[in-house]
Amino acid sequence: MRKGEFVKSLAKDLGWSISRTDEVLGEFFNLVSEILIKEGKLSLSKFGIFTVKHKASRKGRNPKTGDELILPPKDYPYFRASKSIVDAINKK
Amino acid sequence: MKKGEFLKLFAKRAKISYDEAELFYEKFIQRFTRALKSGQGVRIPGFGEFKVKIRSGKRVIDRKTGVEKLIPSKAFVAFSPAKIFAEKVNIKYKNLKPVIIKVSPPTVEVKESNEFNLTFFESKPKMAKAELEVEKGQVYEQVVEKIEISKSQDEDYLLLPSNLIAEQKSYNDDKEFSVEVPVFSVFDKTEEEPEVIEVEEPKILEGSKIKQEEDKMPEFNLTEEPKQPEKKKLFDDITQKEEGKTMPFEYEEESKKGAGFWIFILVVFLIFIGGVIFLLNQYGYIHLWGEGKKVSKVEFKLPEEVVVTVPPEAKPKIETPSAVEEKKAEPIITAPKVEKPAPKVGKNYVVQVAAFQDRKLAEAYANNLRKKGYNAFVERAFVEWKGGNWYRVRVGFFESIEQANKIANKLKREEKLERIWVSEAGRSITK
Repeated sequence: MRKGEFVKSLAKDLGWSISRTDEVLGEFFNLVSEILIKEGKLSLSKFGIFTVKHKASRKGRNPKTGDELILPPKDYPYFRASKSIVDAINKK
Repeated sequence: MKKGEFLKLFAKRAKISYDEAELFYEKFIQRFTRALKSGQGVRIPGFGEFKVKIRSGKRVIDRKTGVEKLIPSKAFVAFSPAKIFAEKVNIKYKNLKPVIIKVSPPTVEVKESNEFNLTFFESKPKMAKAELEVEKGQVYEQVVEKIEISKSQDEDYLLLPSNLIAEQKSYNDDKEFSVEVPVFSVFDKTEEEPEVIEVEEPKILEGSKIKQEEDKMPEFNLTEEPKQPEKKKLFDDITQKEEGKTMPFEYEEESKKGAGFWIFILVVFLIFIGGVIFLLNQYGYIHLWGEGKKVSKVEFKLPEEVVVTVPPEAKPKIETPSAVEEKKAEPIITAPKVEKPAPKVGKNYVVQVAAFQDRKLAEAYANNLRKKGYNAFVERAFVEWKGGNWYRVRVGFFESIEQANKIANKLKREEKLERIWVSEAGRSITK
């Protein structure tokens, strides 16, 4: 589902205009990403937990040429959905 | 950070009240779960994509008890961050790039060669094993035999033709013998036998001898009849030649028949194409010969239903535009008139300038003409064989053909229009 469809359905639920819900939703994700970058962790009840995870450096290989590499360490965002959402998905 | 603080910040940022923020949060989670439940992912550009993935089930054995356990498959929400977001998070190690320790391009080639060698070397021990097993058991003998067979077959192929030739020779000898023997036997009985074949053809020439021979022959013929055809096949060159002469004629006749058939089809095809071209030209899709089609067009068009819109100035005042369908074209007329028409008397003539299938186009064209001072109007005509409704742009109402021709020539010169012709105004117009 793309953002446009999601916003449409949300606007129906809220009874707001589509443009307003679009702005608010954009603001919401902006805030989430900002807080994640600043603090490294954000737990939202009933939605899930955003965390920053760390991947250590490791040896790798370029599968095309066969060169051996050392890959640099990496930080990446991770999302773990809340229990209510996971249960809802598994109930099908 | 707790939910309350987050919502406060959120309300500030989005310029909403706290209650609205709370409501938005609830509804958002509801929609989010519903979207994921339906199996769709939620993609938000600049942030990432939430997807439902399935962790497959496992079988696990407890080390303590030794009992197998089934862990069922489970759906979970996977989040793949957008590139921008991931880069922002990964600011610490942004500038680090993978370092190459070893460069090993030749290894690939070596591997390839090794693979080939391995297959080659593997084949040798396999062959040795096979030989050993052949000596021991009978299982692999079949394979060896097969190879021998293939060799022997080759030898056979080499040998076969010689055998065949020998056989053929032998057959030929037999045939010769078989042929000769009866002849000799016949000669033994009667020496006149060879004459029989020669005499059969010139029977008509020599009348007297035939009778004698005929009297004598039947006795021998009874025995010889089955053998004569063999002789004919072998020795009758004359008859063969005759057959050879006759056959090609038949073939030629057959070929002629075939050619005739194809020519007939070609002619039919050409006639068909000619007809199609003629019809297309007649109906005006192609313009190969010009004058006929104009006449034909006028002839075709006049009897058809013509629903007319006439500009009000051109109309007599008595008539009320009750039957007029296109009133939109009427009120636009503002241009001054060069020639004022006199529509009331007798036949009226009209110059057709253009025709469109789109009404707006036609009206725009008519407007252009009106600005230049012609009394142009749009007329609707329903033409079945040309795709329904046509909107004709006409300049109108002249008392005589000469006037109309003048205007037509003027239009041709000034507007550079080629397809202009004069036609009588329909009855519905003159009413």
